[in-house]
Amino acid sequence: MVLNYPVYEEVDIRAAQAATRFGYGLEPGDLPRIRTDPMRWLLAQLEQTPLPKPLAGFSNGPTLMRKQMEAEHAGTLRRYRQEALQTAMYEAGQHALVTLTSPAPYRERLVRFWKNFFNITAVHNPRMVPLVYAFERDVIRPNLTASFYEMLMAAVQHPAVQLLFEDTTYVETPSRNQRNDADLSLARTILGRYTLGPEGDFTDKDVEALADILSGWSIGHLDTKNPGGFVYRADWHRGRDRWLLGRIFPESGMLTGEAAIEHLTHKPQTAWNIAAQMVRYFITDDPAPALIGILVNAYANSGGSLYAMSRELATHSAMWWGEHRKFKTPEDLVFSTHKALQHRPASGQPLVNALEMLGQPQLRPPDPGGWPQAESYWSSPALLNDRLGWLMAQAPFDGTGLPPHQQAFGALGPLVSERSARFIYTAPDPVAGRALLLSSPEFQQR
Amino acid sequence: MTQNHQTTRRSFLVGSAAGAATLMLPGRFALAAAETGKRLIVLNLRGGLDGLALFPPHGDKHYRKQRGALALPPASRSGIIDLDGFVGLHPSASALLPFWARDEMIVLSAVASPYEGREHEAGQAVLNSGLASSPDGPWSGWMARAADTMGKAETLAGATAVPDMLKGSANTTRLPQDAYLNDPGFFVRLRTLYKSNPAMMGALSHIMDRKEARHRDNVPPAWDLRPICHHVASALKQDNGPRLAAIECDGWDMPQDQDGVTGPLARRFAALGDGIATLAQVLDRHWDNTIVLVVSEFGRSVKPNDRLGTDTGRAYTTCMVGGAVAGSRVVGGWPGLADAQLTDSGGLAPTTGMRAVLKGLLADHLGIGAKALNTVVFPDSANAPAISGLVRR
Repeated sequence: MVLNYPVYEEVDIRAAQAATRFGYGLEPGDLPRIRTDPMRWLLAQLEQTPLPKPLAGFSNGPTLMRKQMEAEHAGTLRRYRQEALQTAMYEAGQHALVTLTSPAPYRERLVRFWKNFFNITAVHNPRMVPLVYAFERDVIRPNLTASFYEMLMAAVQHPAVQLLFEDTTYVETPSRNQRNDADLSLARTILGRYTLGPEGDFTDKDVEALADILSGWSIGHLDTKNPGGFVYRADWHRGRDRWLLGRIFPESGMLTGEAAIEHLTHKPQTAWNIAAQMVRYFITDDPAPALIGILVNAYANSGGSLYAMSRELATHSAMWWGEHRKFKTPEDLVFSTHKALQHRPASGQPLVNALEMLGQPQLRPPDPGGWPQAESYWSSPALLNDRLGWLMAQAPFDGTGLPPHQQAFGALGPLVSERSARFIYTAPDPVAGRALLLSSPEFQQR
Repeated sequence: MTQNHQTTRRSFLVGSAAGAATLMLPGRFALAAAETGKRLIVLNLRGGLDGLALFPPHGDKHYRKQRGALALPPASRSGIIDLDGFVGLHPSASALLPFWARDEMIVLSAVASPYEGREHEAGQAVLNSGLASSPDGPWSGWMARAADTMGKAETLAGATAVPDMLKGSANTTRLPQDAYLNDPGFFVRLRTLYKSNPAMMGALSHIMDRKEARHRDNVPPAWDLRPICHHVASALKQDNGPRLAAIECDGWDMPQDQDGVTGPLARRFAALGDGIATLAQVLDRHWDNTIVLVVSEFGRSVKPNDRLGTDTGRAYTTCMVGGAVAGSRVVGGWPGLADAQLTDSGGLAPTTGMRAVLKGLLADHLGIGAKALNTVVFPDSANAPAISGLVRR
């Protein structure tokens, strides 16, 4: 029997792109729904929503930080770490389940973009384990379409960021009126990763100035009124007028810090840093400067609105060019595979375990840059070998009840080539057909 | 309200994967098997397990120096997950941590079968035959003989072909053909799809050259553990189904580029953890009566070789996991990692015999008598007395 390749129109291609490039893939049945207006489908997802229900029961960063401090103080570290890790694994599972089942996959992809941008990771520091997902819930999700200033302020005041370089045990508040390494490392991180970026123009003097401007910004120790939460300690503040990036910041306590952070969000290099990372994450490993410039302009023209950037990313024609291709990371693969098979695991653990199997363990992104996004990293022979093995092993878990070639059209639509479709169609059995679909070149890309 | 992370087995959200193929069991069964609610699953990791990577003995003062480039970062640097202050767990095997935390795990410090050589086939033959030395002539699997003593109890092969430890069994059910990918022509088909993609073609040729293609000796790779364990657990759940199961997977031999906290071995540990977690999830309340034992033909060299992998070794650290395990603790003396304490070929010295472990499990968990164990199931094993206390009363 000859396979009849469906007749697809331009709007089907755009619908498939909307789902695979900006979302986490198609489920059978999605294409007819999205094709009515792919761009509007994306834009509707930018509406700010409350925290998804499966995440609502988790504690916030300050609470988790306080519990960790108490356990460290009590000396029950081994048991605490075992429990914290199990809790974090459960959180990771619930967060993954939310991403998989969300009606707003573009939103979810933006959440994961910002997670990677700030890269709160436990890869070298087990004290970060309880805070990795709390940071996402407290800082990223609520500010996803706010201004970058609001997200950055929330980040800098979150215990996860304050903890990044701190070694203290947080029992008694020490007396501190001298700059220390932690202050400098945090300032360098804010300048070199969160704002101006790795190529940014700033000197060691700027790092010192920012460290002094932000002196007093700290986590409350156990003996304070807000243990685990943000505390501004005026007695630690090394208050003087400061020169930062060629501008003078008059001394006014905590307000100086707010002014400095706001100033950083106005720098063109900040816009370029964010825009370049966004384009690399969503569209292509090798963006032309003009492509990045589109998002820079959206940022600048909107006064640093992340809504405007996300909107421009989803609507500008250059972002939709068919030639752009991204190689799927394990996250892309795990979510799109489960969608293609309509495989809804009852718990998030299979998703988290799969990500560990594919080399993207959720609690341990590399430091400092986060997960690489480039094809060259994820397509190394060892990773490819294991990826194919994993993909082939998913083939039995079908939830669609469809013959594999129909699954191919459901999962890829016009993005599946006629040749691949024919091979899937003529595979000796359904498991082999599904394995071919999942291992096909088209399914490795988005 | 904070979520209680200490999820019980029941809140591991019951529910098999949608559409998993159903298992066709033969109508006949052995009453001896049906009467016992106890289940034993033996998971054979073929290739030689690096137990020092899976359960790093960070408390041994020679650990870091002897393991060299393969030493994992300490718990304080987010490497090893500390279990009891001496032994830990590889971070990629974190799916096993809940079992330790719920007292459902025993770590076996340094286990070995009687085999002292370095050949995989010969090592697997000694392991699976349950004999004191390499079999000469045809042999049967120890699990097949154990099932015979249980009134020819039905056994389950966690594969489409019968694993060696069930060789000679009269009553083994295999998994259906669609339990996992079983298409010999798959890679040829896949290569055709990738003709215009040189990078992927390179990777595929690499895979086929290294013979990691499926169907080598009919042993699936570690990635297939989830679908396999799903099927095995579904079958073992049945009231009148099998009670003994043998699962195998391949790919554990790491003669080069093994890597440490990330890399190919780490990813396989994640697959192992996922498989065992799948068994627990699907078995649900029957997990209380289940023991899963992880075995291999031998361990690996303590020190890395010059290709940043490991050579084959002797003893290995491994585990048994299950609701019926009297855990959580470490069983078996620690032989030490100093040069003088290693075997001649640089492996871990054994302190516990695998047959002694198996005899203890078969006696205490499945009720097989000592005479049968010492004469039929594990002949010539007087030097390997059954280890007691492994099973929860």
